Amino acid sequence: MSIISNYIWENAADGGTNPVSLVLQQVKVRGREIALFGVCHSPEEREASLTEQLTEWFHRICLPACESRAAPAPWELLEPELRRLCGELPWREPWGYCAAMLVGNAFCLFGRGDVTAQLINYRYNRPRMKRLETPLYGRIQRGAGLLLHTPELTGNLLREEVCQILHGKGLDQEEGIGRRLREMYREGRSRGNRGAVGGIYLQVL
Amino acid sequence: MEKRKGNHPPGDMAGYEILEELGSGVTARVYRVQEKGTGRVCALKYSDDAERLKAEAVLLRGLSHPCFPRWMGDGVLSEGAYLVMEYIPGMTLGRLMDKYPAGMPERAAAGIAREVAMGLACLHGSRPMYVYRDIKADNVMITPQGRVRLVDLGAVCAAGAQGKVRAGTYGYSAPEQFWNGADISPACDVYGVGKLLAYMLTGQDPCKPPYDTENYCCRHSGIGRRMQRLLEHCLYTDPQLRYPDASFLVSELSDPGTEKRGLRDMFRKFTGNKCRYRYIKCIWRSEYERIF
Repeated sequence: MSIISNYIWENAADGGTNPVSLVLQQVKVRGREIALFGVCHSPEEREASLTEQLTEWFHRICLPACESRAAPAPWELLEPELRRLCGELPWREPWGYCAAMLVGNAFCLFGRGDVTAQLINYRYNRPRMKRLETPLYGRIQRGAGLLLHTPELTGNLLREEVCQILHGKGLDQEEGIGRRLREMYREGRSRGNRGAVGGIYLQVL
Repeated sequence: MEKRKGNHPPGDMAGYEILEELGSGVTARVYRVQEKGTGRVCALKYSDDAERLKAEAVLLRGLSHPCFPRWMGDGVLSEGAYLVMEYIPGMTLGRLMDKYPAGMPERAAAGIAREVAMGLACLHGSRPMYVYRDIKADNVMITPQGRVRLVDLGAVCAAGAQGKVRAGTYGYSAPEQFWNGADISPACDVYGVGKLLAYMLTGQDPCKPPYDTENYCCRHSGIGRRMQRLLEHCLYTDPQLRYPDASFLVSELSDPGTEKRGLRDMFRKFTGNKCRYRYIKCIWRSEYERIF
């Protein structure tokens, strides 16, 4: 089982500082893939550092913990850290974050605010998209995809259109995923989405 | 949150025609300009902080080392000051590193670090002794001829100064640069070169999270034993334990090709990468800079 991922990170049409920060970390430890994905949307610098602090935590604490024989489940690692980080940050609207961690095929998802997670899987050869409520713990199946994004990425698109874009050949390669995300972004822009955009798509192979 | 930047100068100024903006920092902007009389292309740095730019001009005028750009003029305008210096074509080391996401060959990295250390040794050997304080990949230029040049001397201060104005880049700068009342010594630059070298060898940018060069280097089995030892001596938190100045680095980095390979290196060569971690992807994107 492996994960292929890519991201889109684009500024608002009228420029300014991009309020979205992203983190994609994939490391193989003892032959097992450990991945952390996160999107944070905040106009405040302090909250935007959430992804930065998560990255530091991932490398300094999480990877050494996963390296030990008694490997903990992802939620045992990510949840307390996110609670700690978010407990330190006062909640301000509008902002949101969503973070997913995968250890092997076990995954957990935490989020809050306007950043959402969508699960894309296939039933009867047709793509289906389901918005995931957080917190969520479980196992992710081969062939499924997970999209973490700010509202502007899919804002004016129908669910079916998003499914259609994230369906078909080329999703088993990073470039293919990047192309699809850019297509989604362009489509949204042509329909009036003007805001900054950030999104991560990961495909489980 | 908007970054603070120097104001825009007028389109033409002090007999120079502005061709393009090369870069901008916290207090200054740098332009590629053409001298109107001679047609000579130079780099012009413009800043609101006239006092600081004047100090940089004085320093640059007194420096004669191929690693640094040549001073060509300076002056004061009503709303700021400017410094004209040699234009250095090429690309920054940061851009070069985009081509080496997993790090460049040890010999190439050592060559670049050595040239940087030679420039710094000139600063450290001058009277009064100066400290560069802001070694980072974006301040190192690689020219089309393959020479290494150091640009932006805005953060340079005299050694021994108890850093009244903090300068440096988080991730590259030595910890004592951010301590109140700590002495600024050439060991700060040694730390910076260590970070730069680690970046070149691993491809992991020290100014991006996880800011964890030391551990990263330990886990990275592609780095030879001698280079690991050198990095260790550059990256001690205690400045007393580091090489005292850049001249030591120059001799340590001299001709790494002739180094005698240890048994462990030979073993690694034949058994391949034994790194416990395999980094597939390490991406962090944000427009906010870390405030410290």
